[in-house]
Amino acid sequence: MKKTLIAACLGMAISGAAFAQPVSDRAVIPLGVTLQQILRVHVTNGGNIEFVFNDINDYKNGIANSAFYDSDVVLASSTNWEMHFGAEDATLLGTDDPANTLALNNVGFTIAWTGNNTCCAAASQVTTVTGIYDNSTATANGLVQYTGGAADLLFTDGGNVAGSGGDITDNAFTIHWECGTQVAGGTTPMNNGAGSSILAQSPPADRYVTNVFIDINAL
Amino acid sequence: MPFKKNIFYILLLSSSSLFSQGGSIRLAVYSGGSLNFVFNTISDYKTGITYTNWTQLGLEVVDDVALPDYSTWSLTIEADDADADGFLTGSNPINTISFGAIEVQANISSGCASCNVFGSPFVPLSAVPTILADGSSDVDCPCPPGDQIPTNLGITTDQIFITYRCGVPPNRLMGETADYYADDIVFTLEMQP
Repeated sequence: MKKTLIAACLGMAISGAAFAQPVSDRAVIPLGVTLQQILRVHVTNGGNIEFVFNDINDYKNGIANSAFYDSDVVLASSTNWEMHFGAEDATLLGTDDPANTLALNNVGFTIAWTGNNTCCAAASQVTTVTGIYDNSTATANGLVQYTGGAADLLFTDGGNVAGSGGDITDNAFTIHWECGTQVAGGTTPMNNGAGSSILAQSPPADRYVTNVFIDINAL
Repeated sequence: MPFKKNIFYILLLSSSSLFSQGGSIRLAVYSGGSLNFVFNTISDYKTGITYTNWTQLGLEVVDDVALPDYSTWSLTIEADDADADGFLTGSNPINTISFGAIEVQANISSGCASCNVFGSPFVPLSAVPTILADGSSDVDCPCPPGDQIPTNLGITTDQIFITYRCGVPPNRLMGETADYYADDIVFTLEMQP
């Protein structure tokens, strides 16, 4: 009996340790992550471009680009983005006489990407769009009217895993404007693709104006 | 018959000892009881947001000296992930971001000489418990075989800071859909035999 009691006591002690249950306590911290959409475009230089034709050479050959005719654009976006680019009106309209018009594609532009994001080639972070202003990084393209659709898409996200979002050092470009230069080969050709000079078009003397919309959308 | 009676008493005593608890545990949040990351500048999206020593946790770990039932303790973190989708879910449920965008780091705030925080690395949040600290650095060690808890911890004297960061490269949130993403972070302090 004595042996039995000793064995039982030992068993009791061992089982007490062996079968202790895990104990735990918990603390819960509510977590929130707020992502606010950031989408901002800013023309930092060249917000107003004026071409003045005052000699026959201008009328015959147009006014080529120089730093004086540049617009610098930066944009910040927290998401991938696309940019539409086009004129407010179907033609340039005379200020003195609104009945006077000048074809939009007398105004042309090339684009120089200056941001840190890679641009303008397949699979880059930002790319120009095939068929619309597609070769504007190399050749002057004629301005088209703004539609907000595929017909005036200048840049879009290139599908690169890094995405096109970023700050103004990542997304920046310069528009090099020119007028009446009859450059051939643009995806949206200048001067109706006919190489027609301002002189040949013979528009009435006037101040022709329009607004150019630069419109970015989050993707 | 007396033998059977003795056996009965022995079994009775054994069963009561079988479920006895020779220790207790408690976890308290002293500060940083809620956490909200607000991304409203491009800088936030590019470099992320860090809240250093945001949450202060007090640990109480008591293993009865006379009845040392427990050999280890650990502090773990996990995302609650109530919807079990494995992601931090937005107000619009189709919007999700990876738990891994949020990383946590444990540092000893006070006391806690026996706490091992493994060099305080940043570890990604996940729906699976991740150990942030345990008792394997007890100053009284070498511990008794298999026992890491010769030194008890007190909730006011032994505390740990938790640092959080979100969207820090390479886990940038640039490009993610704007929304309010929410979940619960669960800390568990557990003591095991």
